[in-house]
Amino acid sequence: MTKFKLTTVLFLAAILSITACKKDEENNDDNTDSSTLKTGTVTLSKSEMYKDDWVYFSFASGKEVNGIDSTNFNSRTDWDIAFHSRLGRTNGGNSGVGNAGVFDTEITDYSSIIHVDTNLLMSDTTVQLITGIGNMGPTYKTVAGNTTFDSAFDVDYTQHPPTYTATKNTFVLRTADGKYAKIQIQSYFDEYGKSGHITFKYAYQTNGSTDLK
Amino acid sequence: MKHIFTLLLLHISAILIAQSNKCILLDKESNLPIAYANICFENIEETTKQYTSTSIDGSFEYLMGNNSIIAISYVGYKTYIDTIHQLESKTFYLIPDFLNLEQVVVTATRSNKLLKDAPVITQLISAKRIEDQGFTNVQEVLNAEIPGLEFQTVGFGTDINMQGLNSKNILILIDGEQMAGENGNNIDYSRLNTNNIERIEIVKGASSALYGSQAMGGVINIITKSSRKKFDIQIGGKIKANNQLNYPELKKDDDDYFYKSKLDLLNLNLNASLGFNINKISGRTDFTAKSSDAYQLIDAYDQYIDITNVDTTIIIPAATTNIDGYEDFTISQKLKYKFSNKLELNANGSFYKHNRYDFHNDNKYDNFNDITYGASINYKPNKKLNLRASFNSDTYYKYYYFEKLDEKELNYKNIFFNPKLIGIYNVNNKHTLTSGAEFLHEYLLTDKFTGDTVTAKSVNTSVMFAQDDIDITNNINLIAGLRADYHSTFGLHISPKVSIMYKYKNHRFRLNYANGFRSPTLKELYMNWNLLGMFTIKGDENLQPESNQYLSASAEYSHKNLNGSVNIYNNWFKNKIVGEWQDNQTVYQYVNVGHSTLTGLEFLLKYRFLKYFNISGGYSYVIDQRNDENQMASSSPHAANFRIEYGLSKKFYNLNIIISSKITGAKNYSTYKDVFYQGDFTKFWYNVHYDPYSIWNLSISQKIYNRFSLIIGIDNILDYKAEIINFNTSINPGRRVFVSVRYEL
Repeated sequence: MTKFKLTTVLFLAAILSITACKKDEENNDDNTDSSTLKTGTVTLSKSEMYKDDWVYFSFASGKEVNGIDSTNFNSRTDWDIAFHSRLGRTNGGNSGVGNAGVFDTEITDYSSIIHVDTNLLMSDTTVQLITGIGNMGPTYKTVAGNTTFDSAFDVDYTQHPPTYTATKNTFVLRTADGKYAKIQIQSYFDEYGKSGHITFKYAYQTNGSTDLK
Repeated sequence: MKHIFTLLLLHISAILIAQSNKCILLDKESNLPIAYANICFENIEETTKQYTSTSIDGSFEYLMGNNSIIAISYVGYKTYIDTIHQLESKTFYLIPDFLNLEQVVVTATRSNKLLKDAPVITQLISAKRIEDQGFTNVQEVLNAEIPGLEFQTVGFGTDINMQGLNSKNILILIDGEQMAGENGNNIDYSRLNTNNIERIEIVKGASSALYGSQAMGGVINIITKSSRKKFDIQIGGKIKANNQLNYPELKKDDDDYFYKSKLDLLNLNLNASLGFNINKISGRTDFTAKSSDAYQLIDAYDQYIDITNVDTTIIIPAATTNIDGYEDFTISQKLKYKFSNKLELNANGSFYKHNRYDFHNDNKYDNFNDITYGASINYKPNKKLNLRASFNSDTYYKYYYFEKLDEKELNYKNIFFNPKLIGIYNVNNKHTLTSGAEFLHEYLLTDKFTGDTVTAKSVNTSVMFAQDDIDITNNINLIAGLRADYHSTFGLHISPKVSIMYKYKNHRFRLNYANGFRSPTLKELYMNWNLLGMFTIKGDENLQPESNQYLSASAEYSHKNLNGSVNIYNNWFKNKIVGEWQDNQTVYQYVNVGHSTLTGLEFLLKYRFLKYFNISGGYSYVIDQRNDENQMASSSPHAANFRIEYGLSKKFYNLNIIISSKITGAKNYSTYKDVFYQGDFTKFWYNVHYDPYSIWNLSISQKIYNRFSLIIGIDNILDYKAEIINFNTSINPGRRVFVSVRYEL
């Protein structure tokens, strides 16, 4: 009797798993590209002014990555892009061990960017980080970063406080592990008007192709 | 037979008297009827009074008989007083008081005085003057009428500068009451809507003996309208060309649609008033909604300053100045209940909401709210005594409004609570004694005390004051006053004042001495704000009030169609509260160290000629001797304003063409820049010069049937724009056309 029950249960389990799998496959077949394209909008935390501590983001998780600082950022592979105020860096070139790069398409119609031209992606070099304001004006430190992100904001430093206007250019990227994404930086502020909270919307192609539709 | 005849005669005459009781009131110059004028009948023996007013055709009827006094008054005309001898049909005339000499003013003495008898020269701006030029905000009005007055735009908003005086020395009141809420020591000028202004009274000089703190250089008192007619409605609107369209092709699906559309609001003002005056109750409701678009002015060039003695050139790059846009509305209500001729109750309340839109796309904007309410009881037990008990409460709120969350957060709350008691005793018609007591409670909740959290502080002031007003002779009037303010932090401060006026034929000579003071603000007392670990702004609870001595001499001449006055003054300021760098530039401490002297001359003129033209203007000359090193916001020594008006009055049609000009003289001051030179940081002083400039306005106003008016105007006809924009130059965006319509029932 027990043996029979066991066999039935196993048989039923097998059928269930097959049908379950089939369902997943069907789902996959119906929503071809949209299911592999991950989208979202993110507001990052604020990086501390004057300190070389950046805010790191991973497309795979769609969240900030904790535990990365100026000592370990260039050996970690679990982040794709990072921001410090209006400066940006990607996990590649001078900034990290990944394969990341970024290009400014200079197109503000975000939905029209459906493909990444990998030849145009620029690797990280260096950027100037403000470390303080003294009598002579701001003091800078050279750190790893990608100057492509300079065109994300038009900043008017003659205003007090400076005004940050997002250019709404669409940036295309290769992530640390060689996948492709696009982002459009919306604002320098969070919903409470607090500055330094980079807010952007993104689309991340999980299947590794350069298709962003 | 005889008896029958006399009886018949009496009968007929009685009928005739009954029929011909109707009187007419006309304007002496134009012979047009004056509607809604006030008529007061007073029975001499019983001292009872009865009131009526003329109807739309200028007619009215007698309410009392022989041996009563009739007094007819109307704004803009000289009051007519006479004794009634016979109840006959008669035409009365009122002479236009173009110079407003018989207009009742209150600010100079806190009691009723005719403008010509005010002990301190009072400048009066009537509602008609405001309406004829299509002004819809108080800044436009004051700019046009007071020489040497400028509203400058600085980072936080608008800063007033009047003949060398800044916002800390000028007291602005609404119906004699103080206003809560400040932005950089300036009140919110947007709260002052012109459609319910009856008149503006400006008294220059120190008036702390009457008004206390901040009345160091001048008092601007805005008197609001009350309802005179049984029932009246006014509706008006003004639209002006946009200052600058920032996003002309904005689409509704734009990500930043809210931010962008709010920068391009219409330059519009819509207002409506409803008033009634029936038997014992009268009231008035006023509503104003207005908006203005934001704009940017860009410096025309980079400035290169050569410091020749050290062979260095300082470069000041061309900068952009942002002027914010806004939308707001105000609703206010006044009620009056006349229990009898002796007792009257007044109540008022208003609500104001203002949104300010700037060029920071940071998902938030500033929202300001104000709630004001008050009441007063006026009691006149007999002809000699007038008592008034009142209170006024003004609460001003500032919020951050988060656009994406539709939420708001309070960051500032300021309350002024001010009960008052005043008694005016007419010893005889040459001698008046005024005395009073007040209490002022001031509360401030702000995030600027400590810089990170919102905290609250408050102070209280108890006040007593007295004033003696004597006509020593028929020609000499002497007023002496004293006010004692007891403040919860600095204790007692006494403000005396003395005014002497000498009348000789058409001349009036006035001599004034007064002491003024300003209590330290709650921020100056309690601030303790550490900015990013770099430095701390610190207040001091032991700060003394700023004080000043004001001395002026003036001469005024009035005859027929000409009024001219010249006022020379000297204002010594001491104990000015300034911020001082201490402890190796780590502490910015508020201390009483500053002192300065302001010497000046003001000349005002009004002249009517050729029946249709009138010309008015003013000139101000100021010598500002400041002791502080860096004169950043300075006023030009020379300033003038000028207005010429052509007025045509027909039975159903009125035309007014006005050309006005505001002339600002050259400004010269020294400032410095810290430059790294030869291995060290040095201050390099250089001179700054701004050329004189003038801004001209034109308005054409037409009124039909005295009900409907249309004004077309051009502001800044010559399209003047400053080349370099900062708080010392004009922020006028250029030539703009406007149209204003108004309908009154």
